[in-house]
Amino acid sequence: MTSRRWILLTFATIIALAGMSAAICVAVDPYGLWRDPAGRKLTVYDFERKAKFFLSRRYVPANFDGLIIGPSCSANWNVPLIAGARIYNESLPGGSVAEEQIVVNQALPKGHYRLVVMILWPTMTSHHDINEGLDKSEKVETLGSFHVYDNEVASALHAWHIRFHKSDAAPDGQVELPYRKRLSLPIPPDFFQVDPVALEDFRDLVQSLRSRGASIVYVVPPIYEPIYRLNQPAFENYLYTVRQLLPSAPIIDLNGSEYTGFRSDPDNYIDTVHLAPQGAATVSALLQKLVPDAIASGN
Amino acid sequence: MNFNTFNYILLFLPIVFIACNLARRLPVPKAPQICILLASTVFYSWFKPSHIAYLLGSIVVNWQIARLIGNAAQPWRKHYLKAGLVLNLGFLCTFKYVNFFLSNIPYSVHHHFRAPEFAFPLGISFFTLTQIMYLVDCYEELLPPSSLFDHATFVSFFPYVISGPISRAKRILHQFPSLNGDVGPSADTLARATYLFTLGLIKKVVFADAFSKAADYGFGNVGNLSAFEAWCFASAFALQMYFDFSGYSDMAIASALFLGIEVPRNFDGPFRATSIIEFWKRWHITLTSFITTYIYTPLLQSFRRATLATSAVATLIAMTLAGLWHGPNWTFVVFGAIHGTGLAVNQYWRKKKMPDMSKPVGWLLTFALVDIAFVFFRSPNLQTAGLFFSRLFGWPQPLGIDNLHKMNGVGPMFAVLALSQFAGTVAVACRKSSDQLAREFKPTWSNYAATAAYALIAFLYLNSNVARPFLYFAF
Repeated sequence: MTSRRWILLTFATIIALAGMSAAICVAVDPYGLWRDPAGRKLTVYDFERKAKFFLSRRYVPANFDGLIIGPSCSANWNVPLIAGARIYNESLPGGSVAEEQIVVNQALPKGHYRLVVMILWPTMTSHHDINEGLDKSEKVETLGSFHVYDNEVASALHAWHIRFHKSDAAPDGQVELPYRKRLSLPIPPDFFQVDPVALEDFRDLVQSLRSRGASIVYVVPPIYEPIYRLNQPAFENYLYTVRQLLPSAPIIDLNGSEYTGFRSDPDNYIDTVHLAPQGAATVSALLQKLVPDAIASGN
Repeated sequence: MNFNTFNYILLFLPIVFIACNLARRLPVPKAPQICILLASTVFYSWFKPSHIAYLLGSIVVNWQIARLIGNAAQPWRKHYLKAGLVLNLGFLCTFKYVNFFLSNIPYSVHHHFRAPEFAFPLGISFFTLTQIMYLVDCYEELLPPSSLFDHATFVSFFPYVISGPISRAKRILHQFPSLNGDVGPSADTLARATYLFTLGLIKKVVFADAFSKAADYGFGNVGNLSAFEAWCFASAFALQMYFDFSGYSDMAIASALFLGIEVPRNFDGPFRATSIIEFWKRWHITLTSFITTYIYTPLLQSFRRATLATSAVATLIAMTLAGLWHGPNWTFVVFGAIHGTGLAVNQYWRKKKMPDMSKPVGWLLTFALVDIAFVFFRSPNLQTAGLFFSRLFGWPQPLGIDNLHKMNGVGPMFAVLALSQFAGTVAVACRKSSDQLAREFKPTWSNYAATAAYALIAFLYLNSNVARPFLYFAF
């Protein structure tokens, strides 16, 4: 073949295949970005960080008016409705508040949130690392990238009842945590350190949500009682410190004495800080009652 | 703007290509060259607009010195050359080395005299060397001083201004008349450029970035590496460097080819070398050529007699300076000294006609030496390099692969990275170099399928937001 023909054929093929890939991605639209996402139920199978980032642009604002913002210990809480608000769980396993801020900022321009549950947890404020290039993510990625293809293939297999791995996030953002029972997992010494940048991000996030009309409630997740007892002064000191520096809002502390029975039951936990499905269900039910009460009482 | 971005691939390069070809039809003399000079200015300014002043200032000063050299007689020619060299080295030192030198002279001096830290202009190490070569070549009357327009186009040419290949003026300037001619590059050249560009792109975004993930993990966990892992991670960094820099060079050469300019090749399958001398004939070829012509040879000539000993000293000095050229850190000095020592021993071995090593043994020793030198290159300081070095030689744990399991993370990206690393290793071991492949390029069906596949795979990696900037941008 001549060089001229070779060039034309090569460029035409690249453009055609890239276009075809983009067309498929737009048609499948696993993140609800390219067509109206209202009423859709989008499940994520992999890359939950990226997915929640993109889902927050249109899918979350179109279908939810409440958020849970937290790390892995709140990721498997399933609270579909609190005080009439439909809740999307934006919790990111291993996530810092810096990452949460990036994700939630996607959801703010088009969303109206009545209620936001902010989890007060040391890993949220101990660093401001950004994983998986979350801060550089662009919409064009959804036209063909590893995370889109992976989710599309997993979704197609799921539709054909071939389920070789768990979903990473249900349509309401709830994440299924791996079940590896480890109730003697110690708390590392640097667990309670507070990163000033992360704390600033936390404050900005709360103020930004509040300025858009959201009621904020802080929730402190329950820790397995034997571990909590060992670290109680450190936990209390951490809570005291961050509450001094964060905007005031009602707080629900699930490490209070009234929940000792719950925290002492090993069946409620996967490990010392992550709740097993049974424990997560109990906490979710509790929140449905406690959050409206806290908002009403202002404490 | 990096070569491995959609902005460059889909916008900048096509626009410059089209503009240059349209410019050929304009009744304006040298219109394509004007286009390229403008494009180069935009390209350079993209990173930090204020730094264009340094580049343009350096161009104007060197052009003027070259004119003075060209018009003067001895001994003034030599004085002008010396002034030019001092100015260029001073310019480089001001931005890169002043505080390094100050921090290494007696304690009290360092604490009392500290120059402000300047953010050094991108590509300063490269365009300064280019202009030193230009001045020396003018002095030696290998080429006449060029016009300011030609000199500015030559120095600021966007494919190589940031990270090379380091090009000599006489090789580039004589191509300008054809650049400004009525006919653009042939379809054969454009097809070859397309092929080479996709090879470079895949080297960078698929192979280099996958090895970078492994190397970053290894160098971030030096404290708990086994000897086996330490060698694997050192090799991963060597391969990252190779794919990163040779990928960049391929894209630079291809970008220039699209405009009808041939720039020199920079790599020729260095990891197939069976001696350290051969390695440097294949690795960063344009820097090797600079070191040989402009540092090693004058040094050797400055000795009264050329002997094995003086040659070894000249080699050691030249390579140590080449190491330091990479940056103001003792780790780079040691990197250069290791290579200098390796080259000197290799020269001695050859001159004394000592028994030839079998090729596999030669390859293994060369690869090991390169890996060890790269440990210093990659480490942030000598302490970390020393710790890594102790790990390489089995202290305290010779075997163990826990870190190799963890280096690629978990989930689907584990498979993507592992596959990319495997493919990269195979590419280094079995394939011809991209330069050879491009030289032997024919517009066949297999090359068509390969090019389309490479481009699509590279785009997939690029669009997945896993691409990283080029390593040599830091120098």
